[in-house]
Amino acid sequence: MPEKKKKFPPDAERAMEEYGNSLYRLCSVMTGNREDAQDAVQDCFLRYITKAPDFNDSEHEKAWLIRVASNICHDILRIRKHSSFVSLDEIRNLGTSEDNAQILGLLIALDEKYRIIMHLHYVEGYKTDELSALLGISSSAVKKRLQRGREALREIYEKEAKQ
Amino acid sequence: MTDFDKLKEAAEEIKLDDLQKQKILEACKGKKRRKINYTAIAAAAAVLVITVAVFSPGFLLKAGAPADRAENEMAVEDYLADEDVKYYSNSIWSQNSDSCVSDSSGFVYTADEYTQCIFSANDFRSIYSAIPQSFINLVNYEDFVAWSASVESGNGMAIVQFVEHFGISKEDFDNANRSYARIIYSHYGELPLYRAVEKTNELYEIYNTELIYSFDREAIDEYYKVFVRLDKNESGNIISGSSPAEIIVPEDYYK
Repeated sequence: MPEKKKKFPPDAERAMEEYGNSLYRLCSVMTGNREDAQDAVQDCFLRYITKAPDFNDSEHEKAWLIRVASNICHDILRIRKHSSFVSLDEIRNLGTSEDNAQILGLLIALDEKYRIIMHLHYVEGYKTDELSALLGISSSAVKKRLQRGREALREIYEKEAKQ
Repeated sequence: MTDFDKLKEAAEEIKLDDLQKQKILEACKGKKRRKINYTAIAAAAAVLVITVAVFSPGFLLKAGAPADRAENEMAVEDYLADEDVKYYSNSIWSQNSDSCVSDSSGFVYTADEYTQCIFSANDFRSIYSAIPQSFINLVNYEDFVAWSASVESGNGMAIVQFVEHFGISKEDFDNANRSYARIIYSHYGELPLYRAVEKTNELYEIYNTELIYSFDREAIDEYYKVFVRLDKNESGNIISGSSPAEIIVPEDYYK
């Protein structure tokens, strides 16, 4: 069988340089823990190296990496389902300053399905249409989750402010 | 500055330094080398089995069917052998989607590998092109391997072709489906679904026995589509779509 020609050949060094930080941020927010985030990024790149998928362009490549990373984080969270609490120390340990650890803590405290969508939209700048294709859900579902995510964020904020 | 700008600023403080990036890549390459070594061991084992089969065919017959089956599975990818959830998938069933399988030979995946592989399929949900191990167990493994190497594209859903070829009874199919549902529930701790809406939930999907046994290919294809309606941009990339409603399997089916 003739070998399929790669439209956009995978290159781990380049991909790490271009998307490494973005994936690490996503995994950090998803797992709330530096070690787990690094493990998730490593696992993601291992799959990238071993699977060598055939990408159409850099956007396709980035979307694939984000989906794989979020899936790995989902598995990590599933394993530790009963101990999902993330302390402020752990968040500071991710490399954020004192003030920023507080605000990041609010995002990490969100339910997983809101956390990922809020992160990709407000931090990574993905639009609703792009998120729809990326996560395999309809645009209206994306909008609904963003709205619920914002509401949940507000609730957590108000609760913390009261304490 | 809005609260969301602050959030962005906070998240952007999280970075990997050059050394960490390098370490991650080196660790990946080390693991890849180990993985290749495993494959080499599997290949060597396969050569040994073939040699024994050629020079001493009686030996394998004495060993019995279960051992043959285990060796066949191990020959696919031996490092996957201890996983309890496995799927067979072949690119010919993926139909117009970017398959997770790079050629037409087909592979057995662990649950973990399958999770990332399903993300590349577009038109149909992952179950469309997969045959879980619980169903493969219904037939002789050698026959399954021979059949999977000979199937042709354009004939619809993998499990429908499997059922037709091996003449699986509805009762056996339903029992395998229940067993598969129980595996999903115990392995993932998630509710099995008759229809998954999100990509992340596709792993929990089991078969709709009634629909499969209708053998109505048009209705089956419609049911297992990822989206009811797809909106694509000029370059053909999906920009949005309407998903059908999720259907959860009733508890008494798998408990």
